[in-house]
Amino acid sequence: MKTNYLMIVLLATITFSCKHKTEEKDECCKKEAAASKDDDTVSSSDETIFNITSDWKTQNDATVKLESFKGKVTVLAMVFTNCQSACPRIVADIQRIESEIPKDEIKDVQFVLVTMDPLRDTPKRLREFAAEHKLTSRWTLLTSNENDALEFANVIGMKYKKTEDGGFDHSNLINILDKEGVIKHQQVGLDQEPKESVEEITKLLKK
Amino acid sequence: MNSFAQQKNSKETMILIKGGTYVPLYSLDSVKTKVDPFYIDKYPVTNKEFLDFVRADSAWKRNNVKSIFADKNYLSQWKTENSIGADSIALFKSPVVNVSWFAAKKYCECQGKRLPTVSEWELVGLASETKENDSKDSLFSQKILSWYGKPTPKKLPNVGLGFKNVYGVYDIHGLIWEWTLDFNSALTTGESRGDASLSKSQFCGAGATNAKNLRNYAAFMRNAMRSSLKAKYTTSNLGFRCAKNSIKK
Repeated sequence: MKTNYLMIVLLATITFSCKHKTEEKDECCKKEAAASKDDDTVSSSDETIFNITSDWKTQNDATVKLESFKGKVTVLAMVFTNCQSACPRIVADIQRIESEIPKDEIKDVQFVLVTMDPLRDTPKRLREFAAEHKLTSRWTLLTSNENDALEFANVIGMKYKKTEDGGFDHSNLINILDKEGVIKHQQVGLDQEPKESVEEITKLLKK
Repeated sequence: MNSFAQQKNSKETMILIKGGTYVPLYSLDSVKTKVDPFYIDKYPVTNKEFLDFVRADSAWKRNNVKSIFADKNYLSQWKTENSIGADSIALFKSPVVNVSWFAAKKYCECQGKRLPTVSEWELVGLASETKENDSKDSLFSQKILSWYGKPTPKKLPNVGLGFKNVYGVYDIHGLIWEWTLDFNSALTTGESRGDASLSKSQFCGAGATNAKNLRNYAAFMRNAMRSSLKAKYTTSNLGFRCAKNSIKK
């Protein structure tokens, strides 16, 4: 039975292989060709989130690329500010991490929140959220559009789903990135002891 | 040349799905999800089509792609980054597999399209040869499940030779698994026993794991598959097709 099927497939391949011509590709694909590199080794630049080239707006209305976060250790999470339960808690968890980093080290650490709800989380709304939660000047809140937020979520392995009431179901994930933007540690779930994350940050600061 | 021009017509290569309602497998809200009209590719994207894409955009060639966007297995069925190799005749029209979500998404965007959403894909997946929604037909379900139980052949058959549903969409079942735009909305853990004890702290809204249609085992399998994926993963039985908004809403 299976052999017969394969025979048919093979015959059909020979008979029809020229039937479909593919479409001409439009120009959008060709632009980036020059930007590619030739070596096939995996370097840290391959793994960095700075490979994401989309534009983001901060809570202060500045337009930035993710690459602008290069040079410091970054603690990063995806949130949405209309979230009633988990998001304030994840922010509190990150604030706990912030409070436990030694004073002489904190200047080289930054905190980034990326919204999964760019339609509602405008820079103004993010500014309000930062004030409500008394976020320090070390924090940057980022918004973009749904497509770029989805791409970002998939780079960090974040799951989320819009619900009928306009909220989101989502994973609770705190990411620790080294100075080159490579994810080195993920804290999964809420109310975790910050010890492990703080140790990871301290380790990364020494590099 | 004329027939070539006709092939380029999207009416030939895409099918208009008039939309409808679809009950998500996992949903807190027992309400149906409304799906707007959309176009979906008649066939999964083939090796030849994807080869044309990477030749035009070398950032997505096997040797250039950033490891954050595709794992090591990316396009490993091809002889080189630029050519399919000795098997090219056999592989040209078989569906491209070993592609990551990022690559699939980019491919569709370069065609002026996008990946279909889970809802759109599942709506099309409800259709049998004769009915737009045949999910309650146990024979139809059985057919899908028996395909899931078979190992993937080393060389995948060409697109367009297998299952054709009532819309005229080919190979939605029976050939490969397919990427969807929001596959990362499958919040359950990969296996059902895990779901029962799914930690509330891992997912905000983890109560959302109430399945609506316990009989639709095939849909469970697709959901489990999606929830086990990461966007950079590539496997030898996972490809994709593209979709497009219908202008008329």
